[in-house]
Amino acid sequence: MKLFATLLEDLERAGDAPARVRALEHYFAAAPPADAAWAVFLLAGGRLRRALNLAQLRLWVGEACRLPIWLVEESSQAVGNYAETFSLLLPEHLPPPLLENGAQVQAQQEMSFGDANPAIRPDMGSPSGRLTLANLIEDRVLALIGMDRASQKAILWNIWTQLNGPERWLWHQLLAGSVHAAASRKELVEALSRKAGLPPTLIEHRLRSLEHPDQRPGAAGKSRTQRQPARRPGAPTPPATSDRTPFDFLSWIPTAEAYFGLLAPFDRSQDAPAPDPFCVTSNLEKEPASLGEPAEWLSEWQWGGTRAQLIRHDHGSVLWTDAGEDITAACPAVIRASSHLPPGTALEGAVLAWAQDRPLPMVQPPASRKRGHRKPPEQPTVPFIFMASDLLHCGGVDWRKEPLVRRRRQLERVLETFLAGQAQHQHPDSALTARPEDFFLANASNQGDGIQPETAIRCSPLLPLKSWSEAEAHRHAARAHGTEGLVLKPANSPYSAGGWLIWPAALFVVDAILVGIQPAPGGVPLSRRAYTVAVWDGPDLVPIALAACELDPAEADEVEAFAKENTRTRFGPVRALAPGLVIELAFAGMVSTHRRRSGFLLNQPRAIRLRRDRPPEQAATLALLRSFLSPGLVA
Amino acid sequence: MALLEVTPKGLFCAAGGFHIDPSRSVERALITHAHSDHARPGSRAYLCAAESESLLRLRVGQRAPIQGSPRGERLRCGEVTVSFHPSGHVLGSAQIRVEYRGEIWVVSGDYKCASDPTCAAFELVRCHTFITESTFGLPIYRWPNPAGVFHEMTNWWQDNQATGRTSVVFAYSIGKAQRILASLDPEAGPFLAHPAVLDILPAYREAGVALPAVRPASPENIRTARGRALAIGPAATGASNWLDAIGPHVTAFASGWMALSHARHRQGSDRGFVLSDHADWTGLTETIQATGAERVFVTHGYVEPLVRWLREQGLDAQPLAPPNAIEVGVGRDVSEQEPAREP
Repeated sequence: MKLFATLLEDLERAGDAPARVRALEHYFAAAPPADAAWAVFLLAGGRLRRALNLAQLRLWVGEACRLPIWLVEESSQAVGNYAETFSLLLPEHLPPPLLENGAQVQAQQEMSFGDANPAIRPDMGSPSGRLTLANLIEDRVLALIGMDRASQKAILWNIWTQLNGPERWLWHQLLAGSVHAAASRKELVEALSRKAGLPPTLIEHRLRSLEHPDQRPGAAGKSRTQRQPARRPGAPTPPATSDRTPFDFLSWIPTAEAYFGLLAPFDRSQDAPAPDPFCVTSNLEKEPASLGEPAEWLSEWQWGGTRAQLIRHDHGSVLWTDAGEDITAACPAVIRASSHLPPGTALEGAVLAWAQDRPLPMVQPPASRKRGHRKPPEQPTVPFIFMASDLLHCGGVDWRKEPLVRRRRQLERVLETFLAGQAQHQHPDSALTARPEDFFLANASNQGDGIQPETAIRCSPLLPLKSWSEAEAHRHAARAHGTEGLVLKPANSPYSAGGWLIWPAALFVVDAILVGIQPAPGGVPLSRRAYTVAVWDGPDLVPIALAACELDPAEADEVEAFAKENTRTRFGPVRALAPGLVIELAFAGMVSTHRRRSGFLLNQPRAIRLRRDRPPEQAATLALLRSFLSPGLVA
Repeated sequence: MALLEVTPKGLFCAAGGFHIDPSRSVERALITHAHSDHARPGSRAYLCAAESESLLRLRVGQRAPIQGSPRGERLRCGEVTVSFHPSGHVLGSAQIRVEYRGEIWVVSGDYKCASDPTCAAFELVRCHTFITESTFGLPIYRWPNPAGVFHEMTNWWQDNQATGRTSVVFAYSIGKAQRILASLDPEAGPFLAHPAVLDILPAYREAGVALPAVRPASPENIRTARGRALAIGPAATGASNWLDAIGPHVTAFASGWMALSHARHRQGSDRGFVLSDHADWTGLTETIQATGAERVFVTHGYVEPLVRWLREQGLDAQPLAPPNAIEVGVGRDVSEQEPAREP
């Protein structure tokens, strides 16, 4: 465990991501496999059950340091967390522990590992005696739960005497249940992928499958205690559900075998394939008429949400975003629905939050994060669907070189068959056992006469495109359908050629008054500031948004000059200005919220033009903006 | 009436007619050491320890009326006897011993018990009332052996030399920086320093402190050193322009606050070295006990916890200033720079 403690120190001292990855590689090259498995578990954010009551631990720390508890508490206020405080307070050489509840407490010189009750520690082999990370966690941390106080105290003293400052800090973090490391998940995956010589996407997927075993085929529907990770053949049967051991609280059990499985070569029968490269899209810059004949193009809605690939492989499904993230665990309904697709199929599309028959509007502002507030109520789980718009592989055959029109026809055919197949899989009891996610599966009505059952995988509809003016009309209606605009695709292009053009829906534009200016978040140069804009509400000005600056440099300089002259007050880096400048504000949508004085939140507000010709009195009013909120006008 | 009392201008001795480390201009000021939160210009007459005189002149003016008192001298001020005793904080720092009709008060100023090649070691002075600082008055602050810290610093410097990057150490420019220069092995490589540090070196050399050759941290010197240099400078945000010319470098911050991980994180340097010019918890508590004082006034740091701890040990301890006093030197000492907060 000294290696792991050194790793945590190195991670803290490393200045940038490559240095952290090097530190992780260095560790994994030297660590024994059982330790490395636990290291992966902890670094990926895994939690142990808290082994020791904090109040009891604090009492014992006070006894070991010979300090009153109020001073221990005062110290922890200065440090910020208990694990580090205790490690700073403990002296090098501890006094012998006092009697605990009349029982004799002896900090024996050597407590050999493997003494723990075998019923608590199923089928774990560990090398005897040495203070490795695996031994420490399994035989000391997890075994502490449920022990009597005298034994706990003996173990505590025994371990303390063997460790130095930073190692004691790690020990306290393990007792509390989680380890804080400066490395991100991406860096961990990168280090493991370098060690194994495998692509990071594969490691990421394997790690997520370990953490979310219910995403494996056949695992759905099992309760937590029934779910068991893979065990070695010949291992003793796990204990009955009623005697929960500390190991049951782990999301997965890190064994040396699991570690080797993480780094094993690619195995077609076990692993999910990596996503194909997504084709390139760009924004439509010119007039649509310059694109040629409408007949050579296909048009669909440009859905918001996340661009993703759904791959149904031989033994399950996986959902990859275009950023390389594995979101299989976040979309259980989609994965379940995809089990009806033929193996060897890959679809491209968008993952959307869906309600009734349209996408959910832009996400609400998050609940207050101020310290001291109660935790906000759990957000209701958002139902995600997959809106498929292209077919990459079908039944093992690569369709990417086919022209788009053929791919689309095949996609529609596959999804129709899939929907019909779903209807066949319904059985009469489904209504009784239905859970909220099952809402997305086909319901019990199998009339089959054109009524589409609700489903988690849908086909993005093609829009009729007889003329460019028709496309224009669709674009205007885009927001009413909950989409962000249109996408135009060359009808005969193979997938790799791309050439998809995104035509975003028109932004809403109002004239608003500049009332504040501040440095933009994220450290952009001074000329790219953020503007607070307001509109009239009777005689008062009500701020409506903090807009990003998208003015020309000349206009931006003019705003800066105005701001210097007309600052009323300063709140730190924020200047409050006297009203005088009118800015043209563009935004993509609005959501009503009671947490703003204006009553709404604007989606992506930006300042696009300076209106020198408009006096401030002629700027927009709050009533006008509120009228936009009526349904049908905005997303 | 107490021998020393808190007034709006600072600690005042009525029987002697002088202030100690006043915050405003006064007639007669006795100065413990030349840091800016203890020594301020404008007073009519200054008295300090002899070794502190040159640094004090840098602080309050070359032609200010300063009298230095050599070690062992006892002066008569009004009806009291005053003397200066080394406190081991920086060059010339002193505790001030005030005696009136057999009653002895000692104002510690800032002090530390660890050894320091740049200044005289702390001298224990027995007294009836002890006024102590408490900058690091919590048991989480226990300093590692300075020799070990300098060994770590040298290893870090050599690792950086191997990758061709200049080592930059941030440390307070009066005291800490010179202690580092005097403690590291000059064989390891060339030393460079920011002007704020360079200006102080002549005073140290005159006082007889052995310092290695140090050159200004200009771009030419950096280039000549080719990644082997160690550059020392203050960490104040205004002074960070000098880093732009340095090229590839690795930073470190030397301060007692680096013992805490959140302070290391906030500070933003690549490395933190736990090196302090103040006493740690052990130093404070042992010194206070050893003076034999029955009454203790605590100022300048973690006042409340230390007061409570001393009371539990049976001493008559109180905070130096009443809770609503203004400007009497409470708060953090500038020489232990806290990591800068972002605006």
